[in-house]
Amino acid sequence: MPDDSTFERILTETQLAIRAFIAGTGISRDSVDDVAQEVYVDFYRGMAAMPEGVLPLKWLKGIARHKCLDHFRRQQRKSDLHRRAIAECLAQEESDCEALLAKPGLVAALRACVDKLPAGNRKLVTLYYREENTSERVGDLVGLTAASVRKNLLRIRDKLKGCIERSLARERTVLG
Amino acid sequence: MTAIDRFLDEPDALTESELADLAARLGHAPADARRIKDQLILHGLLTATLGRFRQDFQGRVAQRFADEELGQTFKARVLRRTRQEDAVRRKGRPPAGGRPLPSRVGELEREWRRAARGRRWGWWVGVLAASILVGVGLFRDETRRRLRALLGERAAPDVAYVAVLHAVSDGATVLSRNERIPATAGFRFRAGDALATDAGAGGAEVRYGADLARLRLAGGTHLVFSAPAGGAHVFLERGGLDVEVPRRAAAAGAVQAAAFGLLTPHASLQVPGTRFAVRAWREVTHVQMREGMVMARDRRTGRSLSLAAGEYGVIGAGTALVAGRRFRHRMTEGLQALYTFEEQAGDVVNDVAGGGTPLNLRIESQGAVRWLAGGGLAVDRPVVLTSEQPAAGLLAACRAADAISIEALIRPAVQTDVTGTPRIATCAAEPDIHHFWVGQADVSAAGGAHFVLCFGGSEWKVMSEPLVRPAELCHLVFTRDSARRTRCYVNGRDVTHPKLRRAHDLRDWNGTFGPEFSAWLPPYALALAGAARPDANGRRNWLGEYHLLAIYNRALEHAEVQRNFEACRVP
Repeated sequence: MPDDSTFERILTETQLAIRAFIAGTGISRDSVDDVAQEVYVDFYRGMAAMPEGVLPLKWLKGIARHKCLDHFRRQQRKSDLHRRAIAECLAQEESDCEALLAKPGLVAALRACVDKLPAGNRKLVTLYYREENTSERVGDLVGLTAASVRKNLLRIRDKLKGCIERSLARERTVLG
Repeated sequence: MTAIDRFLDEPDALTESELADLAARLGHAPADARRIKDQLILHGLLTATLGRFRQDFQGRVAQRFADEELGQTFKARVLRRTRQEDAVRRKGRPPAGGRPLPSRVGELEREWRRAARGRRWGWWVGVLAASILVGVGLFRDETRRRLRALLGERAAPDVAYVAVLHAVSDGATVLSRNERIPATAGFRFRAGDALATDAGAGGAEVRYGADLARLRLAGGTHLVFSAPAGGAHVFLERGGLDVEVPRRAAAAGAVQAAAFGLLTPHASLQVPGTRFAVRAWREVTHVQMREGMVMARDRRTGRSLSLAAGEYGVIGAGTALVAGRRFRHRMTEGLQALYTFEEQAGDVVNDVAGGGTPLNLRIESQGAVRWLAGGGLAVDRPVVLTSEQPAAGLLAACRAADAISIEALIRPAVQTDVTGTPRIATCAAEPDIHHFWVGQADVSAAGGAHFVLCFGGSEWKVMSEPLVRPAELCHLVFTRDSARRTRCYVNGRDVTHPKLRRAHDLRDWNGTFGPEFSAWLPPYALALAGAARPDANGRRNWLGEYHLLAIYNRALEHAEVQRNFEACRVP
């Protein structure tokens, strides 16, 4: 019988990292949370099988990787093979941001960095991420083309990555 | 670069060749793969952290556990933990262990703090007022009522309420400002609040705005309320909703102003004034129109659909389909599965009934079928259309009601080289291991055809008179009621064969006649045009055209069959 309180603690500590990890395999944002829920259901069912000494986040990432490939398989589209190939390529690469996912204070750093963005960029982030509009809709609202919105968001994410890395490094130095 | 931008923005929007190019490029350029992965992870982090509909992920996992009957205490623990964290927030200290809370963006956080300050202030005012009133001995019913009104007004100053909970059954929960409380009638929702009803329990009824809309939630529904000023008034995250938006007298010139907005994970709906039901499943959103019209937009592709009375819309999983245009004003009570074959392309036939998780059918080989202009699917060569999952919900509903009706609008082809009875529709592991099947016997150019309904449990066969000719469009209905009376209707006429025939000349154990539902077989997939798996005599493939197939969990009356037949007359 899995221990509910342990599961709850693991869920609280890892859910953001796992959702971001799933997004990192190329699953659309509409499906990320559904796949993440399936990951935690599977994790709960197999908690007893998790070897001692293995970090739950690592174990969960393994489940998530399989679930993502399953998700593409279930779609049964013609492009299924390409999507799975892309997911495999992305899963094999250890990126800078993936390393950040395990660090404490990530959310606070992200929010602080979003607050520091120039007003125009913050507006784009709010419309796209908070209101979950499409890039076309955001473009309509701010008077840009969808392609420009996508380009701007790309640059904003690059900026945020740098800001978060600096912020977490500073925190480590201070605590240090 | 453009393909990468678009992949980051919406991975599902890329074409097959673009995906192939991207896969090849990532395979040869690990630096590009790392860069894209960084972008995707940040994309996921921003969505999960800031998305107004992405908060309370733990609550949704708890709901999922409840649906799958896992972790019985987990839901209660989430509730308790949320309350503890809320208490810590009120005291202004970080939560236990210094972990960051999965909270909203700064703006929402500030809004929450303002409301919390308002609640504290209102609480002290309430205590003072109550003390005075008790002290002077005026604590009578009327005074209590006034006090409640006073406290209610002061509890949350400057907060606009967007909806009121009119009626609710047990087990529903309100999620308000990171606090979970049992839902009670009269609760007033603010923008950002959510209402969750328990799966398997009754639902709830909500009045949104100044009589802008009446929303009836089914069990297992999660609904988030938004401010009326936004494009969407509510977000249906999952579950079912019956919506009634009254038409306004002034709406003729100001339809947009009166429009009610509804969002699901797959679609956004603009509702000028109408009655409809909407169900958001994991893969798709299903809209069933009753009156008026709804403008629906696929959130991913931006494609718009206009849905009118009697029509169905299916949006999501790569589909944006309007169904039911050919067959309006049909009976919908007890409808469990409905296929109208109006897709015109692709390898999926959508279940547009909207009564449960859609039981979509996949065509195993597209080369064996043709989509017909104007609607319909021609099966030219042996092929089977199989549901993507077992028909568990459909079978459970029919067993619970102890009744079933199977309706088909088909055009049989001439089949000369046939072994066994070709299956029009079947729910079976193999041709002879089944819950039920509807087949067509004696399908030749010269003679007519019988239609046959067979139940697995007692191996009863119910036959029609031999009157149907190949290449004629034929409306067929088999019904079986809870008293085990079985009828067969063809083109609106009762043509039940006078001699109901059993495969084996055995009486049922209780001495009664009539087909029974198998209670001991596991749920099998629903299959059209043949059995999902062959036996020694093959899969009993059926050839011809499908125009409609419906399954109800009740026996349709003769008049209802005639109404459906009239609705199915193809112009």
